Amino acid sequence: MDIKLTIESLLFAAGEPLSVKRLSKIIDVKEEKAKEILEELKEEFQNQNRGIRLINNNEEWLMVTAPESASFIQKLKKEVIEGDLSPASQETLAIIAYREPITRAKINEIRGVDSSYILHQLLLRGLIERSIHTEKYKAYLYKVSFKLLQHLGINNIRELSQYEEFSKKNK
Amino acid sequence: MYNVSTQQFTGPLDLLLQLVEKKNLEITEISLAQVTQDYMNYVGDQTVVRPEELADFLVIASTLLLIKSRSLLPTLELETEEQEEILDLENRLQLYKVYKKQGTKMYELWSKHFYLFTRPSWKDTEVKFSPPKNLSLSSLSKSFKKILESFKEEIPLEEKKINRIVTLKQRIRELVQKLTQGKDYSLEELVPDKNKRVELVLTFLAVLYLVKENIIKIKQKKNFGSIWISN
Repeated sequence: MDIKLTIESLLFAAGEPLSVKRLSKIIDVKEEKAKEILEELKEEFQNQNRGIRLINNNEEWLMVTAPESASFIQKLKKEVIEGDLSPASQETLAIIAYREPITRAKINEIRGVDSSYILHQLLLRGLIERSIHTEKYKAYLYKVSFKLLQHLGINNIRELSQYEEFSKKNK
Repeated sequence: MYNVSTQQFTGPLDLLLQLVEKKNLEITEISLAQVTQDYMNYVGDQTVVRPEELADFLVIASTLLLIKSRSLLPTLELETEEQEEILDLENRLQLYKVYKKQGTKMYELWSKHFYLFTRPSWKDTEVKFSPPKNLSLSSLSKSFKKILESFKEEIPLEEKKINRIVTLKQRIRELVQKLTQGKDYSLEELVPDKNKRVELVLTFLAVLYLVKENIIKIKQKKNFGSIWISN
């Protein structure tokens, strides 16, 4: 079996994010191997100027179209890319993007104002996701969603400008 | 005074940052003291600060007042906790500034509409019977009639005669008949219609077959010369 070929096919067929764990289970290879191949594929799509790309959010991988063709695919799909981002959502999104996973309390602290309503809206629009904090069961942890990466046209949250610097600031 | 009629800031830190930047100041204790009065004016104006957010604004206001009083009374002794509060506000404002800026950068990306599309997932799609409204028995028979009618209009293709081709078996039979009469023939003489390549090939194949079966013999006196065939 050609692992790379198989992973490429699986990602194409799925049309939804696949985790490294799930991929490696399906094709019965070690997770490290699957991860390595995923990184290779991602580079290939990028460097060979292909019409498809791989994006990932930590362990989850998704096959998407190249950002350059966005306007044409929009014509094909007639998909409306909805609504603007308010300044409050912009800064809240930035805080989550650079600091994920992050609690609401921490977001409030950085913004100096309660962010519940904005978080609710961002959740509804699918731009962020939340999960239960594994240590403090009463708190949620917020992180960006694939939809946000897709919207920004980036492969990975680390591609945001000055990510390394700002993700660690005042931690 | 820096004028804001409706809420153009996203929270107390944003307001404070805007006030400091409006004066082209760095974020320091001194600059915070300088904008304290402006900040207080906004907080006092109910058309600017939403009542439900007032508490958040007042928390910052108290620290600002502390900073302001120290700038006015340099001899004022502050407790460690108060010192930390001032430092903390500076740090928070710095941090807030970073993410506010990055937020606008992300928004620029967002506005470029470099959207990455994915295929629709087939996993959860169920087959659901959803007949179109215009589907009926009569519409079906009508469209089938249309199909039948379209066949009638077909133009018949022009017919063309296909030449009969002698099979290899037939040619072998003919050659055996000719050659058993005892006469020698050149290959050319055995080809009935010399203008047809097919005939020549067919005859040659027949000759080869007969040679292989030891029924006839062939001779060629020189290269490219005539091939003579005898019994």
